[in-house]
Amino acid sequence: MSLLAELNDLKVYFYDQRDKRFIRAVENVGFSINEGTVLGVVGESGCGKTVTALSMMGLLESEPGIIDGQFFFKPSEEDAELIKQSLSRGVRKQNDYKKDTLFNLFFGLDRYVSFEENPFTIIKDSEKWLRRNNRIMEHIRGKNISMIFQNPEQSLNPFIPVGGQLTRTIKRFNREANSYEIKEKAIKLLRSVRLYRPEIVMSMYAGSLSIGMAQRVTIAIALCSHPRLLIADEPTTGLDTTNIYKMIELLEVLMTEMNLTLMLISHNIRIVSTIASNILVMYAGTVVEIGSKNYVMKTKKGPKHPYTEALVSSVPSDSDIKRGKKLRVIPGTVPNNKRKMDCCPFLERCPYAEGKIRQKCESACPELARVASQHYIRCYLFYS
Amino acid sequence: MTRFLKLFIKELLSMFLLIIGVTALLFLLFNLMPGSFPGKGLGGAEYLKLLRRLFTFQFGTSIVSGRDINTIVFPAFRNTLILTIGSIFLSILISVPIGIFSAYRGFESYSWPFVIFSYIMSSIPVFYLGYLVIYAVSRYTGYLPIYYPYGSERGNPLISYVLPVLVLGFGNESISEIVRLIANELKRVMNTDYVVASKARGESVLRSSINEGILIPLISIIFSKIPFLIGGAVIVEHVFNWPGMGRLAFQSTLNRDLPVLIVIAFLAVLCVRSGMLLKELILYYFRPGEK
Amino acid sequence: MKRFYYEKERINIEGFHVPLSKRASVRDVVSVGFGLFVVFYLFVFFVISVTNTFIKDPMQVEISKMFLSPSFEHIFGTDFLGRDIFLRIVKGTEAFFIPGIISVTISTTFGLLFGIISAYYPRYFSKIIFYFLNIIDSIPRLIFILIIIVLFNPSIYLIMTFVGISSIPKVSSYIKSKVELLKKQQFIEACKELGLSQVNIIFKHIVWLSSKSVLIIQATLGMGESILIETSLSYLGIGVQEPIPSWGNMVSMGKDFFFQGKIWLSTIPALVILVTIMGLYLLGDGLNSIYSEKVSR
Repeated sequence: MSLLAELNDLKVYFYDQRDKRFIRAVENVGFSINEGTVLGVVGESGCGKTVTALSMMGLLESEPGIIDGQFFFKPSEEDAELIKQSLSRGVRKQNDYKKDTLFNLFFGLDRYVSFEENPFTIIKDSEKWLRRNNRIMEHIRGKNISMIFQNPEQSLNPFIPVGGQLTRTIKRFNREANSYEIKEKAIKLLRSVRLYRPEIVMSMYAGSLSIGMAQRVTIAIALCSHPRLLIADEPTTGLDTTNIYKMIELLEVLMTEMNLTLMLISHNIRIVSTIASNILVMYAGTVVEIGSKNYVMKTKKGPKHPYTEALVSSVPSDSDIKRGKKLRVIPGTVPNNKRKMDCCPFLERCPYAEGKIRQKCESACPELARVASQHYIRCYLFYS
Repeated sequence: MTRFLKLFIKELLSMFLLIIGVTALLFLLFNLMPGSFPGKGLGGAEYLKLLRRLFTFQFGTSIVSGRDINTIVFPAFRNTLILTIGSIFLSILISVPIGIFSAYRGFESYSWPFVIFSYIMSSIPVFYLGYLVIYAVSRYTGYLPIYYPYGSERGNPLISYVLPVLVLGFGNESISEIVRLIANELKRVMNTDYVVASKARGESVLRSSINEGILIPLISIIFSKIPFLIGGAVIVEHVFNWPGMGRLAFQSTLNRDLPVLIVIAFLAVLCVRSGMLLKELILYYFRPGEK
Repeated sequence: MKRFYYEKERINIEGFHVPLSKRASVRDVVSVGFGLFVVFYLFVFFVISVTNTFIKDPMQVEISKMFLSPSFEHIFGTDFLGRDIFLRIVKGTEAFFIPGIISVTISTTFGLLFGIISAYYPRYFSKIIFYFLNIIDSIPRLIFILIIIVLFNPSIYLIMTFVGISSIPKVSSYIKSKVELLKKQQFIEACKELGLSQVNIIFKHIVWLSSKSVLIIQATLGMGESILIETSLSYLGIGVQEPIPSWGNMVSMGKDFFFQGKIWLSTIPALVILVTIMGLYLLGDGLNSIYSEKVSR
């Protein structure tokens, strides 16, 4: 179990054109993924899950904004050489490597982007860095990290048949293979994502696939380069309930078949908990709880962030359905991210924020506190 | 395949109907003209005669020179075709890279000069550009032949194509339009989900957005620009003394040679409509998702 | 207690400093500003030439002042008959201003009308209208004008009317696609359910609030195009005739002296044409991008 990726202190701010100010999208997010494990990322919509994933892939460039942090990743050995070459062109710094095999993919960010917290001022701009970063990410995207997106139908090119997209991607990673081998491999891949009659699927266009089929095809395309890390951004949206578990099962099978590491993003904590070994709960752009599944999902006793508790009880488990238990609803909505974090983000929806503790919650945002080994919670309830 | 045939037949039919309509319009205008004229006369019989002449490509004789129109029009038509097709390719060659560049850089400092260049090129009067080029070339190089060696065997006609094609390619109004269209479309497509998804796979953005972002808008604008190109060709042919259809049209305007003018209009419309037909068929090939 | 936080939040947000380069699209502001400048001087020139408040008559021939290059006295120099080029340029606006406005008016009003009708009656009306519009669209404009000239020997006003007619298809297909897009949108449905009359919906919500930008852009582009057509025709010698000045015949008269090295005779009118048309195009373009950004936000 060696470390595959580690994200430290990610900060992403977007610029709001209309109000002429910055919106906090993600702040102080960090986690680590070991090889062969599944990290589940849970949270309501608007909590910054997708932004975290996109910034890990270096795909956040459409809007003006700020990005800061460190993302260490362990690429395959050939790519490590290539990245070393491109890194050596710049000035080498201590925090660009970690343990000699982990590279900081946000390499040189501190030289191009910097800002002061108080008052909030940008000193340098991130656009130059994004262009520079693309050079490193060429060796990372597809080969080492792949991603599947929320809306599978729209993430397939509508102008090229499915088979064309698949063979095109396969060809990029195996230059020597002839067309027959490539086609064989494409069919094999489509079989491995449990698509029946792959020859017919190959000639279809994205518009004529069902959502489930399209999701399987996107998984197949994402897997044809044998990535080390697969980021699945809500792979189950739009599927009906029986297919959701089929999809999760498929991901689990593929993990063992292809030696994958998975980062599974979802808003349904029960779906995530079926395969995840670690769970990260995000709320309003920050991490509120992170820990192994056994700790986070523990039902009866033990420390648990009020938000996680609410998330768990808002989705029925089997036993809940048998007992006919009523579902709980989390009151309120995710707070406006324009607010600077000067109080607990969950304050207004928290059932425990009463009396003495409430004053604490209102005074400042709590830090992530360690409650057990590998279990951290951002709540004053568990400050010892 | 059957859908393709259906589309083809439908487009062919509408093309035929439109050509009938155009000839009817011309015939009507012809009859509205004040004064008497040889060949003029109301009635369906005259119109059918005109149609028969046009559709069998036996255009009859010119009323001014008395020569057979076929022998005048077809060489001119060929020359104009060379000029327009050459200049379309030149325009694409200039404007597409600028469009792609400005889509990538979003009209930032780097692409400003190119975009302004494209605007200047499409708002400069084409005949002035022609004279400027002739002046510059004849004064400073004396190398390229500036006039078409009309009627003589001297000189290589291929070289004399260079300047007119260059001037019409730069000076027709479509450069800035193509730049604007491609910059906008490509920028839009570059942020769509499927392009971001293919970028996440490591595919280049340009390659995955080339279909929707460049080819489809380019094809649809190029074929709809054919009438404007033919119009621009009238001027450029006049400047360079190029024996094409536009110059012929202008001469017959001065001579009041109506039969020739009608034939020219017919051929131009034929060009335009077959361009449209071609456009539909090519777009059908590129747009398979219409299901 | 709550209010306290919001106060604090507001202060924090105002503390956020934003780089100037991201505050607004400088490009749009420059384009629209330049375009408005062009419109302004066109209007001033037109008013001067209509009211005939010249310092000196632009038609006055002074042989002693032939071919003077640009100086303080004659900022754009004089031509082959010693006439001041600047004054002739001012006078030349008369040749296309009213005709251009006529052509733009024709193309936008009829384009709007046909566009709306064909979008609302897609079955028969649309097909018939677009059949006729396609007929006009498939004849190359300049050849169409040449035929009209042979047949009717018209004035510039009639020619520009035909130019206007020949750009109806473009405008109406724009409007048609826009209206078809809007018709499906929910706010129009909502308007219907609120009990607004069809006419009210069409004219207030579809035409005025949503298609205004398309019309403005088409109008500026149409004005630019009509200037180009006028100059082309004058160049060919079938537009405005000497000695009445127009920008086109000034360029074409000046070209004869090009090879004698007196390039300002045609270069200066050509540059004026260039700047004017570019300004109109940029105006349309800038307005387009400003309006479309508003929609997308």
